[in-house]
Amino acid sequence: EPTSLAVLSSLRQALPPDEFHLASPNLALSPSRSAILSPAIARGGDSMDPLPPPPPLPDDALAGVLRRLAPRDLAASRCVCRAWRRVVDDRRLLRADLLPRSLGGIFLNLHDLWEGEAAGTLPGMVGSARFFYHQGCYWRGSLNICCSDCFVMSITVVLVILSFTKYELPVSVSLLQNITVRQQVSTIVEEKMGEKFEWDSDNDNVLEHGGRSKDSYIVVFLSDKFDRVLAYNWSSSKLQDLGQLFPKFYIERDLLFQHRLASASFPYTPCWLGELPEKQN
Amino acid sequence: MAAADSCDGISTSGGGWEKTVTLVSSDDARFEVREAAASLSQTVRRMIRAGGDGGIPLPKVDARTLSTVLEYCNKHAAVPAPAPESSSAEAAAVDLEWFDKELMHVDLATLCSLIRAADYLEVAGLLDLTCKTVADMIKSKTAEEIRQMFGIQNDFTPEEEEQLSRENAGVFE
Repeated sequence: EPTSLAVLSSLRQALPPDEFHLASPNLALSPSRSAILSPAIARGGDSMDPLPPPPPLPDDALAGVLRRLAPRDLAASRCVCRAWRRVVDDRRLLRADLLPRSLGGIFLNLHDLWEGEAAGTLPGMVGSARFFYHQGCYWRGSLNICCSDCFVMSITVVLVILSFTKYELPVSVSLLQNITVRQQVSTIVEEKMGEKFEWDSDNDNVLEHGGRSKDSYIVVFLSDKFDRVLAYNWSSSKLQDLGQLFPKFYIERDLLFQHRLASASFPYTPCWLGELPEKQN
Repeated sequence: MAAADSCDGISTSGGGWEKTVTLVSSDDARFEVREAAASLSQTVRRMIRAGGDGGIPLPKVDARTLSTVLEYCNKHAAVPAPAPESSSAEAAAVDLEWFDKELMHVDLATLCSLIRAADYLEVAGLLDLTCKTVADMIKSKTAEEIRQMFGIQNDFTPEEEEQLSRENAGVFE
């Protein structure tokens, strides 16, 4: 399954810039379309009876029709029945890399744009240098930025046009509509700590397509100025106290940091629990 | 010449003498057609060269479909050699476009019969036109809508359905 970033780059190659919309509404099916495209009345036909089903097309002729379809329509045709799928697959008609997939999320690190195998997962961001200063992730319509001084910011993005070259900073992120939320962690703590809740650890893959409720976890791990580590579930606005933990990757990265306070916020998913051993001080 | 056997008529057309051939449909209807028009079908052209008695049999095409195919061939064979700069050539192209458009105003079953016939008869222009028309009808439809159009049963197992929806994650949202 392609990562979001890989999908993004293939989209960018496939489409001119003004067609590169995130979650483009043009992709949605219009219900009125089927009415327009209902079979034309036969020439000279005067019957109002439903038309008989057309005779099945031989494979070559069907391929002749299908090869004229855009990738998205070809993908739909491939789901019609086994015979149609076979025609599409045997002749390799479908270029899956050109499919206009809706974008689940883009994860950005404001210092490094990273991609590769792990791209598209919050834990993957750790692989990038200086990850713990500023991180941002685009997820389901908002750009969430987690900054080092204990606040998280969410910007609702209606249309994002990203123009960047590999491994350079985003050059332009245009925000047509934005709402900025800035909350100090101390106030969040006061408001939210009363509520107990549990992570659903079977359900924490934030990037999995489909089948999941729209408000999947966005987990932002806030830096701990309170001698303990807090995780914030962005979509539910709930906090979890993970206790006196210390991120293991701090140790690997810089021995001077060893077993001291976490100095900055970083993205987190519950599957990281093993990466957060207890502090020794 | 070898083709003489199947060229069983000579007629006047536009002041000149033109060779005609007789094509016989699957339901035994006979169509006398100018050879120039019939030769738009590569299959017929080969059969003319091969020769034969009593017309060219086309057992895979019924009379109704064949008459539409020949309507197309007659119109397209009549078009004079293109002279790109001339306004008459432009007018002829527009006229031909209108003709094609009108010819495609038929139901899907007829279109599919035409595709089969154009495929069998190897009439490249008509095959392209009909395939494009059917492709336009499929455009923007869901798999279920396409099934209804073509009267196709969904024969995927639930496991295959799941596999397909995984492969198409995010495509139809």
